[in-house]
Amino acid sequence: MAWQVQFRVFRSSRGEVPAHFDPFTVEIKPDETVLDGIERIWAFQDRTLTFRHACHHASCGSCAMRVNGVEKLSCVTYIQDVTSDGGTLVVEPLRNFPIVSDLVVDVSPMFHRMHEVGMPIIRSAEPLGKPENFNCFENCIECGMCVSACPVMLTSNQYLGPAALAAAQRTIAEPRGVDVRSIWQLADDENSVWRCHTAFECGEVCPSNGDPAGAIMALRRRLILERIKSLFGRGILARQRGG
Amino acid sequence: MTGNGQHNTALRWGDSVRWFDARRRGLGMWAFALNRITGVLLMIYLLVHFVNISVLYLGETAWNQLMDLFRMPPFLIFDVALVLVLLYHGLNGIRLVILALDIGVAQQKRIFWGLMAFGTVVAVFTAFGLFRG
Repeated sequence: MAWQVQFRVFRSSRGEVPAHFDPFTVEIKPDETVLDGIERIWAFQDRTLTFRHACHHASCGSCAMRVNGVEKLSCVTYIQDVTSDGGTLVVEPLRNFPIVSDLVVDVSPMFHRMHEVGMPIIRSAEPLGKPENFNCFENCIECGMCVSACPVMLTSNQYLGPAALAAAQRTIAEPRGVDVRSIWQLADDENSVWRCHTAFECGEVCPSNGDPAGAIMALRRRLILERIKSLFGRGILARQRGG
Repeated sequence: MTGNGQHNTALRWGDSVRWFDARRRGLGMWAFALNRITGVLLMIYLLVHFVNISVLYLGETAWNQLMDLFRMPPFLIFDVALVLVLLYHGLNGIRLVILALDIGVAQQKRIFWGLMAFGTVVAVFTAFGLFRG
């Protein structure tokens, strides 16, 4: 039996129209998804609604958005898990990214940063080391939800962010031919590892069960050890300072 | 960060206070928000404390009168609240130092609750001691 749910959808078009929320009443079954509801709004109520989606099974990350204030992949977020019959759903774009239109954000800043840290793409089919040390970050789908959930990114648009820092840790741990000197420098920056305030929200919202905060802590420990070594003129940081 | 790597979203006043909003968020986010709030409270207390101790300049009588006032029950409740804030901020700070060394990251929630349980015991004993005089 279908439920009646009111979607309150964020609307904005590059600042041309002041941002506001449009209400849409949707008949939807509890075991359908938030993306099903948004597609139904677009199909039957408002063809100007802009949103992004592709795979419908949580592998592309393109339908990431905030549902009732929390980052979700809308294609695998079931209606019954986020509202009730007669309830309301507030749907907004990801935070900490420039808004392109309505629910679509420009995620290119995250990819530029991932590129700066070597953008490691190491498939889960080829983990190295002990299985217990295997970090799910290899399964990152680059959805940007960790960047949106991070409270520190709300206060600093200079912060490198959880996705790129976790990628930096991955590259440093297993360079596979990448020159990591610039990545060490980037990681040791005031807007990098040291800016994280350990809220763990990046890992809470990660749809791939990744652990960006854990990776940042691992990178922090590496940097602390390197800084101690550099006091005795040893280690990669000392070599960098020495040119 | 510069160039294309920058998240060129303009920071707004609303964003800079939105970190406080931990609704529907995880334990780590609540711990983070409370840590900041207790930090601000301790900062305010420090300023008040400076004002309090400056009463010493007014002489022994003024100081003793102030101390008598502080021993009254409403102020003892304030003392207990201060102990709670101190314990939270200090113990969570220890947790953050441990985690920053990459120790027990996967167990961060258990570490939090363990330290909070310890803090509760200390707070109860402190409150008992304060009211007993």
